[in-house]
This record gives sequence, C-alpha cells and structure tokens, in this order.
Amino acid sequence: MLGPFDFVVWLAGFLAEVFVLAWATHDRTLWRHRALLLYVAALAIDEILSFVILRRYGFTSNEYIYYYYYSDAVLTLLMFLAIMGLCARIFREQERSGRLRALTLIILATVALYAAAITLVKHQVLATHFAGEFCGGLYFTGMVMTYLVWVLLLSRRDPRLRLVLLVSAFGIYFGGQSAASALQSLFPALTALHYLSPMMGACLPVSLAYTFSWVSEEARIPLEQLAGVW
Amino acid sequence: MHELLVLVLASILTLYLGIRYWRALLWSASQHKLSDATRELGEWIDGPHGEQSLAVVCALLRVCPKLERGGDRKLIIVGLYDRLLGVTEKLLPKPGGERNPWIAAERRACAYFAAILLDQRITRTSQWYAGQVTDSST
Repeated sequence: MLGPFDFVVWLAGFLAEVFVLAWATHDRTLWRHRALLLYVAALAIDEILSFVILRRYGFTSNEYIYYYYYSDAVLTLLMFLAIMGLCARIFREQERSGRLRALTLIILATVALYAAAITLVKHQVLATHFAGEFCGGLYFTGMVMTYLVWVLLLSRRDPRLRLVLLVSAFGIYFGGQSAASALQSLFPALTALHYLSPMMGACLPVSLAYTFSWVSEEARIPLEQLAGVW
Repeated sequence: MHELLVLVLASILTLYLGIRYWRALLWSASQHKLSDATRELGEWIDGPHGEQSLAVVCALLRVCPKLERGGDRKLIIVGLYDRLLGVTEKLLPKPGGERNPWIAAERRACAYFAAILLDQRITRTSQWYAGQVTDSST
C-alpha cells in the first residue's frame, strides 16, 4: 500500500516533469536537448500510466509489477539516448557528433544485448526478476557511461554549466539507482531501502527543472571551481 | 561479491559527482554581482577572515525587512554546509596553524551566497518603499 510519502515523492517528480515540458514550449533554446525532452515526456506519460494501473490493479498485482519493471527498462534505454544527446552536444564544435552517435549506438546495443543475455542465463523463467536485473545492469552501465561523459566534459577548457549540471545529475541518478539496487540485493529484508529508488527518480526531474529554468545556456564554469576536492 | 563491488563503485561515483554537482550549484548561485548597498560586504568576505563571515551576513539578513513569506530554505542548506565545513576544519590537523585553503574558499562562497540573498532583499525592499512613496505623493 502506498503512503503519503510515496504520493508526495510521485507528485514532486511528476510536477517537475510537467514543468520541464512547459518550460521547453516557452524557451525554444531547450529544443537542442530533444532526446532529453523526449525522455522527460516519456517519464511524464509513465507516471500517469503507472498511476492508472496502480489504481486499477493495486500495488501488489502482477500487472503493476510487470508494468513497473518493463517500463523502467524502456525508460532507462531512453535515458541512454538522452546521454548520447548530451555527448553529441559536447562534441558538436569538434564536428564529431555523427561518428560519436554511431559509436554510442553500437555501445548501447551491445550493452543492452549483453545485459539481456546475462540476465536470461541467470533467470530463464521469472520474467520480473529478468526485468529487475536487466534494469540493475543498465543502471550500472549508465553510471559508467555518464562518468565517461563527465571525463569528456572536463577535458574541455570551458565546460558549459548547464551541461555540467545535467551530466552530474544523470551520474548521481544512475549511481544512486545502482547503489540502491545493490543494497536491495544484499539486504532484501530492509524495507527502508525501497524508498531510495523513487526518491532518486524524483530528484532527477527536479534537478532538470532547476537547470533549465535557472541556468542560462551561455553560463560557463571554470575548471578550477569544479576540481577542488579530488 | 558482485553486488558488493557494484555498491562500492556506485557509492564512490555518486559521492564524487554529488560533490561536483553541489560545487557547480553553489558557484552558479554566487555568480551574481552585488549592488552598491552590499559591495563593501562582498569585499569584506573576500578579505583575510572572510570565511567566518556567514554568521554576520545572516545577522544582517535577520534585521533587514522581509517582504516575502516563508523561510530562506536555500540559506538553511548553505548554513548547514558551512557548519559541516567548520566542523571538518576543526577535525583536520593544521600544520603550523594554517587554514585549509579549500575549506576557506568554500566558506567564503557560502557567505557570498548569503550576501546575494541580502542584496536581493535590500533591492526588493527599496523598490517597494520607493513605490509606496510614489503612491502616497500621487
């Protein structure tokens, strides 16, 4: 059964997603991040659909569980496309975006096939376990990919603040989800861990809303401001 | 074993990017230029003991009339971060009694952030007061 906390987290995420889409219609410069906007739109649709399925079939129903895991896998794949779009933005000035897109698509397809193959070998029957582990694998790969994008971003002399915030927000999301997934595997009885994943899920659209509405496309952050601790 | 490895790696990378994200946020928030009303305060923050000036700026914020409702949530988070830095500084060993330059720079950024809030509040109050004076004269 969902409590007030779950509802508040869901509402915060959904409102932030709607805000990002509304802001994109107002500020046309955001259309450069088409893949990212597509992902946010998919997230918003998913929130509505999952709410409807939840209301109709209940939290513990097979319908909801199947929908949750499979939609999560599709959304994670869409998020990869969004990261690829960010990568293309970083390389735009160096005219390598075409090659990079092709390379990233190959990596993405390989990762998806690899994650699916490994998971199928481990769980040939249980479809929900398949989706759950598939998502875990995708989160981890997403975390590594985002970190590589981050390294690419730092290799530039004047990183754009918007890109810095977007890439780090995605990295935190993927890293947090990977950690939450690993913790749930290690300590399945710990119920408090079930709150981690939705909270991370709500933080990402909130962060996107902040970045798009408050940080201008032209803002640059000096490298020394980022490289302070390690 | 596999899950433990994922957990360790994911925790390290999340913490690393979390710190970077926070720094970028703090930096973007402190990029506003101060007006004449608070410029001297900004110079004082940049001075030799500026890292300890957050408390003074917060005291000034409290005495400045506030038009908007609600608390300064951003300032609460920045205040907590400043306190965390203060505690870290006390715990870290100081060779020759020198201050850690990174912590000092971070605490200055916190004080500068509060100074921007103060500056915005003064500007809003002045504009409101100017509007009131114009209304009563007309």
